[in-house]
Amino acid sequence: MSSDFYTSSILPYAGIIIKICRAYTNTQEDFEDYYQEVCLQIWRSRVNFKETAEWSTWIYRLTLNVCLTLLKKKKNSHQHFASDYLPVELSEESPAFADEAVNQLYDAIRQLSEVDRGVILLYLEEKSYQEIADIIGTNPNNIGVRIKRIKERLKKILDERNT
Amino acid sequence: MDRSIENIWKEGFMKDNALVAPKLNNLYNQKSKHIVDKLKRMFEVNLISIVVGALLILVVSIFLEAFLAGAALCLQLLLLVFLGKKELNDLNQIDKGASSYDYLKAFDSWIKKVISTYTKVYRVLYPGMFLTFVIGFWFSSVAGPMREAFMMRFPDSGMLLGMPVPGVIGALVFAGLLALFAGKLYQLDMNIVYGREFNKLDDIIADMETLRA
Repeated sequence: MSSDFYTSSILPYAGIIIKICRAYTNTQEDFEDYYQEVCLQIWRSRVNFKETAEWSTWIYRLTLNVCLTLLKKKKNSHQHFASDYLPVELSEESPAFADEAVNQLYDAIRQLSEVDRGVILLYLEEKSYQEIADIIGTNPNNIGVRIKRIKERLKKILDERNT
Repeated sequence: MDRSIENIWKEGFMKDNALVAPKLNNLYNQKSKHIVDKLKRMFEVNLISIVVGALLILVVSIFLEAFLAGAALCLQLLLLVFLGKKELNDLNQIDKGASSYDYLKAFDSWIKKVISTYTKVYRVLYPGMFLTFVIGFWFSSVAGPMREAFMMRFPDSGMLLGMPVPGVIGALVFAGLLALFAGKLYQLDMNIVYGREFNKLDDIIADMETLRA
């Protein structure tokens, strides 16, 4: 990959990629792996980009798709890895942001299903229900109901942590 | 927690240094960890190995004076390569930039199609290759002393197309078993390597389908 392509076409959207990858990983090492893999796939799939969609929307889609289907392999384990069975708060080296409230929110998001993580991240990025439905490939009518449920679940998790 | 999640999100990412991209290390040469790329690589390596194996069989069969059997085995293997190449082209068509549901469904359909195609192919190919090998071996120069020893030890054994009847029956039974369990063996192999990923895909697709309903 040329550094020009990375600087001009990926780096301006690194924030989006980082936010999504953080929600699908429990450790800093996994996060960096996911980030690199997403960049690699953007570069490899760039020829499939259609001008009808926005580049940022395409990045959202691709990042989500890569995170949903990334092969997770850890050293010293064959098919499974310990962090799968640990509550998120017990996982070591959780990727962290400077803001503690954001870290707590991420810990809560990581407890959601894969699809719900994608939905809430797009909602927090202020995407419309129609855009969320287009990116995920679902019915916009059900997105609102799902977001309401996810927010309730997140609030419950955050409240439990803070009591 | 008094702040809404929307406020936590907005305020948390307002600081300039909140999102620092990790350094990219030798990205061009980095091995992909993505399941689609991994399957593609596995397929490519497999196809090359089969072509090499098929050619080797052909060469060895000439030396063993069993060219016909060698050529038949080689052809069967090349048929497998032809089918594999077709499946590989379909895998390349999967668009990672499609909506998540379409992407996962396309990938899931590809996996199911491959398993179904290979199950049918192996059901014929495994026994076919086994029988070709047995027949080729029996009539090859290497098996000459074995053939003679067998005739001397069992002179009354019935023969069918130049082969002892018990041997023919045994080979046919084994070929039948191969045909019967070929699909199961292939599925077991795929599940051992990718079972966990496949189950995860099924769960995600099922969850998305509830959102589409």
